[in-house]
Amino acid sequence: MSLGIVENLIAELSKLPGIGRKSAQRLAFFIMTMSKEEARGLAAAILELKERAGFCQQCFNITDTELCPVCRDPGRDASRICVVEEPSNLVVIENTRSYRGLYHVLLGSLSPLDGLTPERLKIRELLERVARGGVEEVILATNPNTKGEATAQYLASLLKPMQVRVSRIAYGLPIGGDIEFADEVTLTKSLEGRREI
Amino acid sequence: MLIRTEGIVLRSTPYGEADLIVSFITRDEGLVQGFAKSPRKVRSRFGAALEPLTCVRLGLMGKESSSLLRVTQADIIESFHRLRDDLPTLVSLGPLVDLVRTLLHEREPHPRKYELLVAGFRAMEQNIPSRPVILMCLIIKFLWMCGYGPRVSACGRCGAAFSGDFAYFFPEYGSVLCQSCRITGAGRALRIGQETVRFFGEARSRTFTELLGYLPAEEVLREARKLIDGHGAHMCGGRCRPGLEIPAVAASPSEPWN
Repeated sequence: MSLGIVENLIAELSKLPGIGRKSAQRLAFFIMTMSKEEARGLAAAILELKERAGFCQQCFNITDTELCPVCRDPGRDASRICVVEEPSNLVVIENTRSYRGLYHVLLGSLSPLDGLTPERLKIRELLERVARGGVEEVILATNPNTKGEATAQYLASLLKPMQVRVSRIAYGLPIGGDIEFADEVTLTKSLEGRREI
Repeated sequence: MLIRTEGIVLRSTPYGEADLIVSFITRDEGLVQGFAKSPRKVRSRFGAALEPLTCVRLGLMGKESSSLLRVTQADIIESFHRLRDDLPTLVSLGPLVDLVRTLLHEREPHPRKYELLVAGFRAMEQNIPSRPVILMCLIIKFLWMCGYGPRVSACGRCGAAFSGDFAYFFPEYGSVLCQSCRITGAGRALRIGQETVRFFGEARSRTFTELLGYLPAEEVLREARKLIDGHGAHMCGGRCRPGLEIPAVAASPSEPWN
């Protein structure tokens, strides 16, 4: 057997985020132990994703149909839109099962120190959605870092004149953590955002 | 080699799944690029220490010749989060960050320039109404400290002192030129008044504390801003973006600013 084909697979798997050469080698040897059907299934799933996946016409989540499953679901609360930076953020929020509204994926964030470039993001589409009516609240769930915060502030400045409630997800300490190890900024923010119990 | 120093985070670029490549201006090592493992994870020990503009106590590990060191420690000394929390201020700081990254060199100590930036950020954070003036003075001081200060009080060719109501600043020369020294092809000139010339002198000589009560006229600020934009762009060979003005956040969706 030529080891070239194994090397090829290792090289390709190493391109994935978080996969170094060692992990790629482990995955490659695991794939070798899979049945032909399983390996074909994996390859077909990758190809199908590349050929059919696109963005939802309404919220820009990843989907293979015109509207994603969330936008198609009549049971969702259409008066709330949760704005996230990437489709992967949407998946994490969906996993909480505590949010039943709709989403809007910006496909990036603003970079204030490099100059703002809002035209790269799906901001106009969000404003059009809100302008069409029926939206009571926009929840800004961009990342709690400089870029995410700048994006949230920018969006708030555009959305507030449109007579919708604009809210920002809370800052604070991670559950299971210890205050002793929290940094000053996180603690300041969690003190500012404290609530009565 | 382990380096322990203080630094300000200038920029951070996501790398891989949760890592960051961060550029710092440090007190003892000048510009430094660092690789931080997993700071984007929620329970990262770095917390908010690697957010732009944060002043941190740093631990850096790597070979002496390495251009990318591993960040082993980053403890916040001053977070300057109030500067980051205000979007217009943050945007207006972008050109200063560009200047620092362009005019300074890697691994060359710049303790005075580092102290100047920390003092400037501290003054900006504590004095919201004076932020535009402090930022402009910080840039003027920084340019002078780097040897790139714009010369406005005397002709850059013959040294004749400024006289009259207006002077003409030529970004290509980094200086004002008197009537007799102006030559064809000297490039586009920026007209500045007496008050603006005085402002540059004050900005250079006064401390940030002394500048707090100093509010120049809007016209002076506008002229100074244009001059710094043109001069900075020329000094950096077009690598710096203009826009020192602290912009107002758009009031309506039809007027987005960028």
